[in-house]
Amino acid sequence: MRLSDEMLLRVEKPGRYVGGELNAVIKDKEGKTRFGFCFPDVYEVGMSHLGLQMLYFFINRREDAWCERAFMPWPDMLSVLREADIPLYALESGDGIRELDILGFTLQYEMCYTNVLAMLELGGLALRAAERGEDDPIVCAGGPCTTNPEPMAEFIDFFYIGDGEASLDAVLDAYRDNKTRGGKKADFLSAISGIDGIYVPAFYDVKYNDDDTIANFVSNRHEVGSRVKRAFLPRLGYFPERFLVPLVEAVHNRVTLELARGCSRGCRFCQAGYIYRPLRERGIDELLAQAEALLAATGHEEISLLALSACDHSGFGELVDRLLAVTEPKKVNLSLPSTRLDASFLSAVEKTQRVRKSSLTVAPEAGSQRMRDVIKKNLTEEGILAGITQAFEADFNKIKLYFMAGLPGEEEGDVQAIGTLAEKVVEVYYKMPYEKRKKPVAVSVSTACFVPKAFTPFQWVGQVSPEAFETRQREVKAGIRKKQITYRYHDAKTAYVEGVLARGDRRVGAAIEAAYRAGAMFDGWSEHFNYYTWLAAFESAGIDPDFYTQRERGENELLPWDFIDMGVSKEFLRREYERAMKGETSPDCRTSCADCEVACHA
Amino acid sequence: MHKVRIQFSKDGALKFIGHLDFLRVFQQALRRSGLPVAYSQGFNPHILLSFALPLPLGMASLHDYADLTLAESTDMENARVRLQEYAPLGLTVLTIWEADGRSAAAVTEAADYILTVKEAEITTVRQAVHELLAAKEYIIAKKTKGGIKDTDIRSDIIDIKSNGNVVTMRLSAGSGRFLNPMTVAAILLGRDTAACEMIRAELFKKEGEILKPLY
Ligand code: SF4
Repeated sequence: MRLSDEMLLRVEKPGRYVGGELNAVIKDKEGKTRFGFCFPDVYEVGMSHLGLQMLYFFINRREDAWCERAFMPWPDMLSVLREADIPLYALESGDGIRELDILGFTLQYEMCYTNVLAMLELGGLALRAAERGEDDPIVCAGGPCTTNPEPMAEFIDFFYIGDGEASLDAVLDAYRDNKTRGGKKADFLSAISGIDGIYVPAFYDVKYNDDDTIANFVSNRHEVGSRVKRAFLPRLGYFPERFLVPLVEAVHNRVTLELARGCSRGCRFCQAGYIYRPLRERGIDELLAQAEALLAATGHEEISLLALSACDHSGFGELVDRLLAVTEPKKVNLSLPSTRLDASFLSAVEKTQRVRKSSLTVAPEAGSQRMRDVIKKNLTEEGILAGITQAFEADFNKIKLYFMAGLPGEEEGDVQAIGTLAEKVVEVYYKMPYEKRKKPVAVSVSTACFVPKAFTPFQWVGQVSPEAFETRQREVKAGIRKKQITYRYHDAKTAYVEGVLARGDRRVGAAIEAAYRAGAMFDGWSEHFNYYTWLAAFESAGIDPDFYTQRERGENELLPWDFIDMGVSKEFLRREYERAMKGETSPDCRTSCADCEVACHA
Repeated sequence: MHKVRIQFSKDGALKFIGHLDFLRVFQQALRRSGLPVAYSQGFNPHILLSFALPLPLGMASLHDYADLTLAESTDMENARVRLQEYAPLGLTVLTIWEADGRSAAAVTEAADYILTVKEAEITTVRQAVHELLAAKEYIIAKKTKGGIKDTDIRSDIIDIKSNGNVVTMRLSAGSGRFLNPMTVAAILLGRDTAACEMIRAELFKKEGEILKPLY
């Protein structure tokens, strides 16, 4: 630690910068591959992230490696570091991150990209991979945004695409072997370029057509194939026996169990539902053992259940019963995922006294049935209202309804239907007998702006413009008359920038750099996001944002992420898109296979 | 229900977390330890744990106190060893004993602080200590809810001793009267206290007119 007490006391939350958490791993650095897990957001956000806990202990289980952590410093600490000329350091050793061997950024959302650049620069590294030398660490990136890595390609030495546990050992072995052999960075990168999930951008060239679409994307080296296959773990295995327990309050202070990876529902707007296919569940005995071990190792007073659709776990009812048997005597709170108001969830709620019975979240995603069919959100209005009625009867009185605006094929009526549905929820409450209405009902409606993502059936569609989003927000607002309903909406301008970053190509990297140079940071935080900085950055980088957001892509266009084999086939995604446009749904994988070609039953 | 008092010291990374964070961290250690702690009644049960007096951010303490309620009696030395085993880095559990009666927070009336001054400052500080103790009153502008008010802090300065570069200050500290040690440090040093080194050494209760440590 190179910060004096005096420096630490100049910032708002010094506890973010001192390390020393329970279960933090301290090793002797001699002879270790030193890995820096870099989370491009504040400490409290990063420490609540299960992926960090998983990979931290996964890497540290190796005797030849030491994984440490670094987070994006909040602006107050940023000025302290810059003023004192102290580089961004790893929390475990206090060494500057430039002294480590590999820096691994996790890209959880596009709006953290400028923070990645900020952390590199704070660490004393050049932003562009090509400008870094043999003395600099290798910089890699993983996480869901690597499904379209191209906008960050210039800054990253290699991307890791897919399940972390699948290929990480092979990468670390290769690093160690290369170092023993006295190999250079380039030798290491070529050694790993054949491993599933590894994409080294420098080994590929992109050529563009006159209309700015991609003409071709080819490897410039013989030994590298033109396609990169995702790293894939057929069966979930490893799970940490301990979690780091932060000293300052994180967003979530709790044990998180990963019930499953993947989802069988295939909602067409949901990237996670496609890139993590097929559904892989953990067994109940395994989950229970993890719960007990982690409670003992952390002292947390809450457990949460994580999965894209946790209630879909094939043994959900039994799991909840058996978890409650563990948690109730320990006075531990079991936090149930509540976005799906179905029978299994409500019966679980009934069984737990320790669920705060006030607020419940439901995500119909679209207001009209027609739109719900387009996006394949398998919920009917009767189903939603019946579930909510049950929830009201079970003493809930606050309902949060989540929707998306700007969905493909959306018309005015579909937008108005959002308010109508919210009003019906209020009406359902007043249909209950008077003695059941003990507390006042409150319905909060929120609309997110739909941003089409890679590897979804909507990867070809044009995104709605910021002005059109704002019109829709006004329409929703106008449709809400009851005073029990409040309405919030996401910022349309943020969605516009996110759209460019989500489906951009390599040329977008210049705009990210320009935005960062002009002061953009913490773009995911509304108080820090500056739209005009970004518009100027697009302009200075010679980029037309509408080309990436509003343009409908042709069926045969080469998309920037087409070189990645994510399991699901492009033909399948196209079929789903065409079905969507006809308002047709398709089956849940649990009912019948829709042939996405991920070959889950091969 | 068995009320016990825990004497501990706190240092390292724990200096940099606020009171509520430290409460959570302490409760987590208790849960890990498996000691038979008692929980509050009601919808959201929590461990019955409270501290004598919050520490300012950045300050370590040599002797600090917490009250804890256990659901069943247990050997105190075993409990201490067990809690220490599960304690986070920087927390040292010194003793635990059965302590009925008023809470540590209710009885605490004074605290000792140890201020370490730079070699070059020793003479000025010694002079300032002398003047401060000789004065009948010492008026400062204190921020209160109703705005800035002139307040006499002299009566809250119980004693100050300076010995080389170590200054020990005994000041009012408790839910009734409380004098911020940084205020006094600023007076003695005649400068901004941002980089000053201070720890809290002990907490006191009153027995008759005599101040006694909380143990
Ligand atoms: S192969 Fe069939 S069942 Fe398996 S994930 Fe794809 S669509 Fe679902």
